[in-house]
Amino acid sequence: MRENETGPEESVLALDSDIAELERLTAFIDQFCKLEAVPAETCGQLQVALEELVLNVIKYGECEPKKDAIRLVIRREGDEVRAVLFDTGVFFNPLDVPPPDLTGSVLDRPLGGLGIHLVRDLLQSIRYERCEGRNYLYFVKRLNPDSGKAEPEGEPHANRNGDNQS
Amino acid sequence: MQTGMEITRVDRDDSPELHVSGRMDGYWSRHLEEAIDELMREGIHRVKLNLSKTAYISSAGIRVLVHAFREFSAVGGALMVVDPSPAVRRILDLAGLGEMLFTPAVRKEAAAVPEPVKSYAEGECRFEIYEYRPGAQLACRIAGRTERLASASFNREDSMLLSLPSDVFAFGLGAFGEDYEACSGRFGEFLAVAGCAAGQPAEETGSADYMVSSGSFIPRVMTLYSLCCRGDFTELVRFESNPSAGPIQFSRTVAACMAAAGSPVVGMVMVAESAGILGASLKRSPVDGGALFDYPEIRQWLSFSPVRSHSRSVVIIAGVAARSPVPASLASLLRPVGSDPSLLGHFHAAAFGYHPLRKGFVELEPIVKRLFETGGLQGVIHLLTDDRPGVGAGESEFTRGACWIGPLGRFPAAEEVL
Repeated sequence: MRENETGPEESVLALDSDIAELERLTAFIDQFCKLEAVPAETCGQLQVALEELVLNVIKYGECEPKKDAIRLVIRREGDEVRAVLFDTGVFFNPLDVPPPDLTGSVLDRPLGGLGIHLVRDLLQSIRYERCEGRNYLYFVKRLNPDSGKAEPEGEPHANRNGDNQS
Repeated sequence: MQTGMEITRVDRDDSPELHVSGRMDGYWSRHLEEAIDELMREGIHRVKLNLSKTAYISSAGIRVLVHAFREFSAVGGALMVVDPSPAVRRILDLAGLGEMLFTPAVRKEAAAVPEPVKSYAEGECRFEIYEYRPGAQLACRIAGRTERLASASFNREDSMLLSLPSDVFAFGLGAFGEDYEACSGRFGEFLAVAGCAAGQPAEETGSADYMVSSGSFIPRVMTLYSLCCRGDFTELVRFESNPSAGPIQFSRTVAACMAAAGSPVVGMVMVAESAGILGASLKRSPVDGGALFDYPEIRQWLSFSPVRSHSRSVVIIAGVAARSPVPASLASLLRPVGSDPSLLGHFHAAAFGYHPLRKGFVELEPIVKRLFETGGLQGVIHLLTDDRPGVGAGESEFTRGACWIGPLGRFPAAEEVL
């Protein structure tokens, strides 16, 4: 998938490099998962992975201008979600980040690198490219096999308490 | 779509349970952070987090959990995650945190915890008295001519370089620097406890500064006057106010300490969670002469807030308290504390960012070191009682704290080197 090949089945989101944009990112992923009947568990993992990646760009990417500095193109293909995330930030390949040390007590263990560690575990086929001053991250998210069907009404995180009654 | 995060508190047994529904992500996790912070300020040191309705957690949420886990562990308490949703469980396991968060931290040493020798309630405040170092003594010395403050007429002859090792507590007017010239424009309130010293430079824009002993380095302060005590404390007094009854006045804690020490003159270091402290600090170094306490000149000399400050901070207070009649050598140093005319004292306070205090018996030095190293020093002031009829703000107030106290023994001559 390339940037200029956004077909009708693709969802596209442009984000400013601003922490307040995380709300829009979350709403966008929820909406995408609802439309594409992506199961709740997969959706939650997509949310976590994309938040880690986008927050990294916002915090450390030094994007100038901040407006529309981050873009996400995402679509469902069968039992996979395929996406590309690209940004105008400084060179950063998340795949270069060494895995965190997960041994030792939680009381004194450093927490650096945890976000990227989660990304690498939650996503598949991650590929990085630096091209024309942009970071491109391509990835696949396989739908979790144990929950292949979407929830009715597509509310992946809804905490419903008998709201069918009226 | 469910938006954001909802936190519901359920009080059961001795520890509350927070039910967190929604997303523990980079945006919403700070709400949980604030909720946990409020529990700590209530003095609650054991808490369960029920994450059964938590949709997912990101590394930002994990940081909040781990930070809280460490804070509770540091005060001997516990934070426990219970019933995590599968999505949360998966992420916590991935982060290598699962088992540690689901079970309370096991204390490494099972050393016997000292029990209080006396516990009592006075009004809405609970006190516990512990033996600290039975038989210990404090040898104290007053250096400098405190009466020179009123005329702001200190000079080079008054200056003295004071060394502040870990078995000394001290307070007075001073500045960090090795000679009088370097310090003359900056003399202000200072205090030193357990090898850590904090000073408030007497400059309009000066921010508080501090030094911590490390290895062979021992902090030193150039002083104009000081009270300096060497030795150790005999008792530890813990106090805690009933949250529904409001905070406890400083003078009540001082009176309780006087009673516990059973001595007319008591040296005291207190670490307490502040509900607001009241005091003043010098705006100008008191070396050029002037009528410091005259109105309106006093406004140029002293920074005084008519309302309490640092209300959500932790403070370290160093000082001396006495019941009248007081020893002549101390008289010029002492001021009224609260509304009881027989209770006198002189106290300096250093305010830090909030850190919860461990309950029960506690050692002074680690608490002070931790505050200096991680607490973020906010300022140093001389504590005051503002008893002006009608407009007075009263005195400093606290929600809970610890006072290390000891009867003051001999007062050596100023020339005697500690």
